[in-house]
Amino acid sequence: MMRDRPDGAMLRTLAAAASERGEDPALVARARAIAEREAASGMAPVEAIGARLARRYGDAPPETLLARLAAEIRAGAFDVEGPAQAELRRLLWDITLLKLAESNPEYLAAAGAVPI
Amino acid sequence: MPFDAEGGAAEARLSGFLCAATGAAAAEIQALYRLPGGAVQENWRLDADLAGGSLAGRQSLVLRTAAATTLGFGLDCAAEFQVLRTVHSSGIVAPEPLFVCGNAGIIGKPFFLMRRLAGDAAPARIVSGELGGARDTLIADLARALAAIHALAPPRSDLACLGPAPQDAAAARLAHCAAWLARDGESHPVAEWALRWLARYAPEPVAPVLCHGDFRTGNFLADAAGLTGILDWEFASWSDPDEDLGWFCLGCWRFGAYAREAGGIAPRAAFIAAYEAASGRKVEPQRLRWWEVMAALRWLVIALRQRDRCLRGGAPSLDLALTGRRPAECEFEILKLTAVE
Repeated sequence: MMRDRPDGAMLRTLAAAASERGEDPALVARARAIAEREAASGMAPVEAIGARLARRYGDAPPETLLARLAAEIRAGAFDVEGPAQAELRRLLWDITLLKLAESNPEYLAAAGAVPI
Repeated sequence: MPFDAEGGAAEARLSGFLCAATGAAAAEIQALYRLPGGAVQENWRLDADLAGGSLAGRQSLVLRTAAATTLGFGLDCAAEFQVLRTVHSSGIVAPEPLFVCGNAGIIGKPFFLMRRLAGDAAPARIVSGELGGARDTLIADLARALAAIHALAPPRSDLACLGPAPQDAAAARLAHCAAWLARDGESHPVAEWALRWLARYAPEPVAPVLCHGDFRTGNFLADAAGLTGILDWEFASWSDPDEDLGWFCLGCWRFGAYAREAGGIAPRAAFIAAYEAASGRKVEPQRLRWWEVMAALRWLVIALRQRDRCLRGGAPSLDLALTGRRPAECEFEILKLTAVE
């Protein structure tokens, strides 16, 4: 998955149920905040990454493209330093920063600059 | 939760267990409630008045038992009790284990009892400096405790529960993570990248020692004066001592105090220096870096497993569900640590 599960919609549902069970309000608020950030960014960032993957692998659903990327990494296609590895690192950073900005922006703020 | 479903029946059986274990004529439970934290295990505060026997009087205890759904790896209740018994008797600051019960007829599953220590494990209170005393003292105490844990080496008959020590702990961890990721059914490109990087730069094996396996802020107790006990031994194993160091320093365990690389408490250099002084062992930065990448990958795998306990295992816990959104933190650390220098 381009975004980690549970997605924002499921988090909203789980947060509502947790709220009824009397679970920690801070957790409920955190789940709702993630859902809100995800809804605010919409599908555009996911589609942008999908488009970059499609340039390498051709048109396919984002999850299929991601699986192809994972398989290529697993097969050692990016083990050697060079332009292909540098491009891979940029792509992995962009996917990670997208996810982290939605899931835990405080972490990102605390960690500061990334060595891309 | 073992005590809520049956009214007082489980409590009554627990009183009976305390009487049988201690020889008390009666055991009156004064307080019994679940303590915060503990996603893999449940910890219950148990205060009881015992009439006679080996623990006569008011006892402040903790009952530890597995959560309703489990990760699928880690020590079982009896093995964790045995590890705790060994480390406590070795003088390591940890709760004193008292009794283990493998009979599921008491509370519905195995459990053990240990003495409750003073202090709090809440990471926010520790990284803020509210607990733990002076930061340099706390980090030195933690480093000394870790060195004492690592001084326990196989073979030991009292730690037979850990199984045979691996010849190559790094390779074993790598294989374990690869197997769990392959089973996940989703694509994790950064984790795949970590697997390749870890395989390329795998360290030479060293003699294994006892490792805590989850040595981090949040898994030790501290009061206003300092460290009072190391908790949560369910991931203990024979491994490479640098594994615990890398886990402790991982960015994910700094709880907002990211710049203090040793658990959000102190600079990394202060922790490593104190550990080296206590253990007499020089820590090599490249080995530590490797184990820190492994820590990020291992936490990523555990986070996915925690998520699955909610999404697939039916555990109604928002906390577990939210853990499913934490792999991005691990991926951030993997990419940062494996950046070309």
